[in-house]
Amino acid sequence: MASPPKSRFASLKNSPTDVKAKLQAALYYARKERKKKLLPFSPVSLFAASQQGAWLEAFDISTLFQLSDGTTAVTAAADPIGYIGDKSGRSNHAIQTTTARRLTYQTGPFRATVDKVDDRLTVTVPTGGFTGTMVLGTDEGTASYGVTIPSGAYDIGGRGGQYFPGNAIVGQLIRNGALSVGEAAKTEAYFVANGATASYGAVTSFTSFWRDRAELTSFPMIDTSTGTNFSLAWHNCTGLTSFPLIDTSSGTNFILAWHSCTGLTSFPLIDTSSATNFFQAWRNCVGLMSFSLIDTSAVTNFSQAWYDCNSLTSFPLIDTSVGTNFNRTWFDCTSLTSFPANAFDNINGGDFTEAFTNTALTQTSIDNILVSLVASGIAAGTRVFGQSGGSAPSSTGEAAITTLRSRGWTVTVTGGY
Amino acid sequence: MILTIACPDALRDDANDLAMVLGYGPDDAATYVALNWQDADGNLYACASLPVSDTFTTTAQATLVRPAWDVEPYTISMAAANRAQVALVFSLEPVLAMPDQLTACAGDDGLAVLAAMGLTQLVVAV
Repeated sequence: MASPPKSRFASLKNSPTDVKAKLQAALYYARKERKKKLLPFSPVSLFAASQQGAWLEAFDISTLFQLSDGTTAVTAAADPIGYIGDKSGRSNHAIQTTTARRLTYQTGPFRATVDKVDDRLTVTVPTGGFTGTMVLGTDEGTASYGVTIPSGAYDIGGRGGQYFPGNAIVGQLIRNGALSVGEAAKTEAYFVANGATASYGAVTSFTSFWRDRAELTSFPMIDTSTGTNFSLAWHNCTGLTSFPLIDTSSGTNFILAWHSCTGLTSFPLIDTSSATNFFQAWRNCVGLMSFSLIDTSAVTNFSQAWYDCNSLTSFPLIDTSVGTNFNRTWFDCTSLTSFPANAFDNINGGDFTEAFTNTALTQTSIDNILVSLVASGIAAGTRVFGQSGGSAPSSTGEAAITTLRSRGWTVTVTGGY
Repeated sequence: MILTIACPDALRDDANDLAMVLGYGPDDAATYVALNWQDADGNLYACASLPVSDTFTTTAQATLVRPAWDVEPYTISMAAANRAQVALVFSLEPVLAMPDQLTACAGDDGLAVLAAMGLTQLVVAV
């Protein structure tokens, strides 16, 4: 902080004159502080201690160039963007050397359009990588994420050119060293003030939004309340170890939504009351140790939903009452020993092809499953059941198998009964 | 105008030579790389989408000239670029992508154009 004018501090004593001088000095500081508070936030403060990172603004035309060497200024809408200058002071500029992959400048509002076919720029992350926070402002929403980005090429815009949480980038800030909650909020507000959309609350299709973003280590509590399509939304986000309780109450399509999120160890009790399709939704979530009793009352397609979730040891009594397709649903859940009774009492279809192949079910569990299939009364349509690994059924299960076969089922179980 | 181009696997090398001729430099050899799209018959494609000038289609169909930056030993195979040019099909409306053609269609939304060309994004092996 700069010193106040010397004349006001020249000889501060306890004389009336000195008291006046002190009051003037106090007033001076008060005005200065007030002025400071009124100054708009600038992300420059986030790099004041020489932190590594990148701060890119597609709305600041002075930082945009058509060619990757930082020449030929962007001047008009539809100009290609081959270079976005890094404003962090670390010279981590984003560039694209291939013509077709360049983003496109857009005015009204100012931003860079990402075509999701091949568009992306590249930042070369320096040795040591970035572990901290990324704030991403787009035309569809703005959010802050925990990230760990290794050194080397990092996509700005579409991941692999194809996947991006929006259709245009307004601003992106990555800092090595986590931002405080307040700093992240201020940065988000800064991007919003410059053209980014604040909330994802109006998005209906989140298809492939965060797909293949292995760098994400935490995911924010964003508004997804209007989302109906979450297919592939977090596919292959291998760095996520937990997932927030976002609002998915309108979601119907969760095809491959968390496929290969290998770092997840648990899953929250999100609202899936509208969900109809869980095809491969959690396939290859090899770290999942437990699973919540989510609402599956409207789900018809459970095919491969928990395929390869080989850390699950038990499974909750989910509602399968409208389920028709259980093809390979728990395939290769090699640690799955415990499965509840009555799980399939009210199902609508009998495709259990390899549903429990390569599992570790106890005798009680496989008996539970077979008895429940009998209770379903399914005697038409596809009627196939498969289990391998774990225990063979007891006489109770064998009796159930006999009944199922009398109803046209093809049943394969451990032990070969 | 925005052009979205579907390049079948077999034409990738030739098409990248053509991209260098029509583009800005040797880095345009990376225009068609990943085979992320497929047609109904399972044929794979690498795709690109970019804004082009109104004269681009004329230039792309005219006699190809080696760019000034490409000096001996040449980077570009002009023979390959010419083969790609022969396979090039322009359309102002989306048409189905073909495994023996370099199909370029106009349209503001590249993803929508690719869908109309009968292409879907590869997901993962089932």
